[in-house]
Amino acid sequence: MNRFPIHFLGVLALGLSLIACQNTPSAAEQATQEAAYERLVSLSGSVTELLYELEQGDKIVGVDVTSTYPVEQLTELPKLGHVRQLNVEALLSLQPDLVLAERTDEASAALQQLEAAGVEVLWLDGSFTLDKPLAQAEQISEKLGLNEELESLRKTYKADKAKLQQARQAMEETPKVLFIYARGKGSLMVAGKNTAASAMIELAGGQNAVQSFEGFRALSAEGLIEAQPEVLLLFDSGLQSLGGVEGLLQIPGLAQTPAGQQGHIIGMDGLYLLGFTPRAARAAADLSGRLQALPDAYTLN
Amino acid sequence: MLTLLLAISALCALLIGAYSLPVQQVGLVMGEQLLGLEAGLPQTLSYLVWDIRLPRILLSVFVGGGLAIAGAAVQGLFRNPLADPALIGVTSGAMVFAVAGILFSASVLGVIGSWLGYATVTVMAFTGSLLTTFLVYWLASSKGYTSVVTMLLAGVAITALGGALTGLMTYFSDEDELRDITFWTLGSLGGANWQMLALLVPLVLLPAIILWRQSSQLDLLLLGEREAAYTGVNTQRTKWIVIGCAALIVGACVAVSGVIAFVALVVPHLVRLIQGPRHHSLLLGSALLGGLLMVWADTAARTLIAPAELPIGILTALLGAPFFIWLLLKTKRSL
Amino acid sequence: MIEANHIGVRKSGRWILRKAGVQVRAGELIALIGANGAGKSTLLKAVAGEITPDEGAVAINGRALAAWPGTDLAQVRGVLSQSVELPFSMPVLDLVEMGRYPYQGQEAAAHTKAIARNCLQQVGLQGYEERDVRTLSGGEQQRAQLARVLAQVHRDQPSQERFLLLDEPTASQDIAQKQQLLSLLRKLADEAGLGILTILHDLNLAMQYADRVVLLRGGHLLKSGPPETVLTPEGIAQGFGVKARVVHPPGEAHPHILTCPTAVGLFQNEETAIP
Repeated sequence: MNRFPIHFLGVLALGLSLIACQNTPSAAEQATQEAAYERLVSLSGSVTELLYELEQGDKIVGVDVTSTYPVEQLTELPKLGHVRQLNVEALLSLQPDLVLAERTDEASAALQQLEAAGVEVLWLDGSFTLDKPLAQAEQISEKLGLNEELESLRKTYKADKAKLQQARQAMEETPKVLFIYARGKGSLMVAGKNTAASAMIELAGGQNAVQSFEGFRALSAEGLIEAQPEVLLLFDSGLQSLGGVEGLLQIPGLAQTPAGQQGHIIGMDGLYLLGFTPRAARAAADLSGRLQALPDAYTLN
Repeated sequence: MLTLLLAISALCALLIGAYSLPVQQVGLVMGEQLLGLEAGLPQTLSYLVWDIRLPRILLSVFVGGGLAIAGAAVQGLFRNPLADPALIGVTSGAMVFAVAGILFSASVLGVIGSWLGYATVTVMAFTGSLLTTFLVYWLASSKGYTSVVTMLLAGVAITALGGALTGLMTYFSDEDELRDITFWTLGSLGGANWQMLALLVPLVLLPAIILWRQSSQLDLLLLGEREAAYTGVNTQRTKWIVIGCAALIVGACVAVSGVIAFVALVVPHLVRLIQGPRHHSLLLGSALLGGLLMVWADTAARTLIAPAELPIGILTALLGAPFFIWLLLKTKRSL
Repeated sequence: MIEANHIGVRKSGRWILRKAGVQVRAGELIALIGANGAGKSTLLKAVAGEITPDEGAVAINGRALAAWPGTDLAQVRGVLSQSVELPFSMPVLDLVEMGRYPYQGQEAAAHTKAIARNCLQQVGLQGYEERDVRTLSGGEQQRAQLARVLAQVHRDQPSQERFLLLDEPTASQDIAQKQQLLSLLRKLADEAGLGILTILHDLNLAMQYADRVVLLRGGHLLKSGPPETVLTPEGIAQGFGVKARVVHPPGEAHPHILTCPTAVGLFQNEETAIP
């Protein structure tokens, strides 16, 4: 045991020195770095979307697992897995000159290594507000030297926000909306205060049904009835994992809520709804519209 | 033989990666670092080989070797081929504390957290594994005698308690924390760097050497505690040393890599098939084979689904579990 | 010399052995006999040091048991338990070599191996060196373990008296092997000068091979002395509650014990509590 590392290192050093002596470097192989950023890696779904909105999509060489929009463009790109489980080497092999990541992932050891390897990382600040996409767009634009693109994004976004305003004004009541984060029947959580979900619900002119705690908590039948939600909001994927509306209503307590009784259930795409992407205002308007268009009654068979 | 194989494997692993590098470039980086050659390579390249690939390979050697040697010693102590260091609570203790570290790093443990920085979870896991092991040991001891059977039972109870506490904390964790916890329990060598190695190597190597020096005592413990004592073994001392060293090794390994399943269980079996149960060769062989397998497992983990990364704990379980079942079937037939 | 005097052992507040004792000198083969539950194993364990007696003391070569360092003690006395199970497969020779633990670092590996081979030969297991212990028959396993214990107390030039403590070494041997085993023990006592204390169930073997017999009953020492004086019809009746005859077949060196089946009743729960 005490011998083996010495052996090991000895053989290792010998082998490597042999290899080292065989060749001389060809400096031409190494592309010189340019000041402009041409190879981008995005480690956040909303950032990826922003890059496309800013017409920088063709510069993206890799994205994380949460990047799902725009669908067609992203099918061809290498997927790097989750930001908390990155393969640094694989990321480096894409030879990015700028990696864009959310500030909240700053603690990731992999991203630390990336910076140490000499790859520039742009940390994007964000909050659950409608300003987030714009603020991030400004950060990116500053870095990449984009002006026209930013302006056009601002314009589109302003128009979206105006539409949202209209949609909200059309609302007669503020329905109590409960966001359920589901990954199969065994894993159900509801959004409390200070979550992306509650922010979105309020933007859309609703009211978060849970006011008694912050963050996400596991769903309890009694808590459900107490919260008295009038609308249930889920990701499409979450609704699917439960077996659709019928599966959802089989969860104890859910059918007894006003939302359950009236069948007021809304499913939306996850990134679109809670990613606070450049489509955030549109998503809020969309949600607002759907809250108004809910059927008066839903019959269970 | 195994040493050579391990060295060759490590060398190969150094050449394989998601970032395809020609042999000579890897050689040049090593030349730059070890021999002080001036190769004029870009920073990213030398960082990739010297600061990402190499520490990761060395880490897998020590984690694999450490887990396997600890597993072999614990199996010998418990006279049970199914024993695993997890049985004495090391892993569950590490888990509880690591999860607590993930959850409370921002709040309750803020002070410690800011002081330890990114190492919070690692330090917490290590502390947890040691604390739990000593708790288990203490539960199994009375009047200067430690019952191995009670230790197993206490280990099972503490592991269950640990599972419950982990579950409780998971229950109250948010989405990001939950993801961190999940990734931690799946194991990864992704965070390897030289500082981590500098901490891990002594924590694995020294206890491993001490364990190795207990080979004869462990041999005799195979006959049972009574026979070992009759033959002049200070069984209480040996138990202490084995449990202590195994806890140090496994605690350190789990702390840097998360939960990596089956290595501690399967590798000693494999070595026992080849070399027999005498601990002098078993412990050494397990350490080498454990390191060897881990190097390849991690190479697979970082290249198989590149550019993404496979959690190594999943990989070892995927490989280890069928092998273990095969072993069971084989033993069943020979009975 | 092993001296165990006035040994008393309590278990859950009840004496299971009291005022029992035994002396073993070098070159002596002593049989420890008695009905099940008479305290034979307890006495043997107390002498071996596994049990610390609540009363009395054990000394080996003039030194109290507790004062012996572990490996030194192991060099002068070997203990063979009734059954030892191995959790893993292992070659027989390896098992026997493990007996040399007390000499670790003091002798060359080749020497250890030679001693182990020699001990295997003594128990009649030559040629079994590479066999897996777990594939041996019960009797062979027991002899392999005996070889290990022999290796443990083996000395090329003995400087001290050495002893073997054996718990029913003949348990799973056939009738020929029992004789062979006892002959070996006799020889070890006579030629190697080992003092041997062994629990025996077969009274005829005790009669035939032992220098002295120690008869226990209900945790007490009933009788001790040369076999002919202890293994009398009265002694056997007292010790085992069995009627027996002791006959002297013509031409045999030792008397034979015949138990009389008619005198044996059904199992009775005899109260063996000790005041």
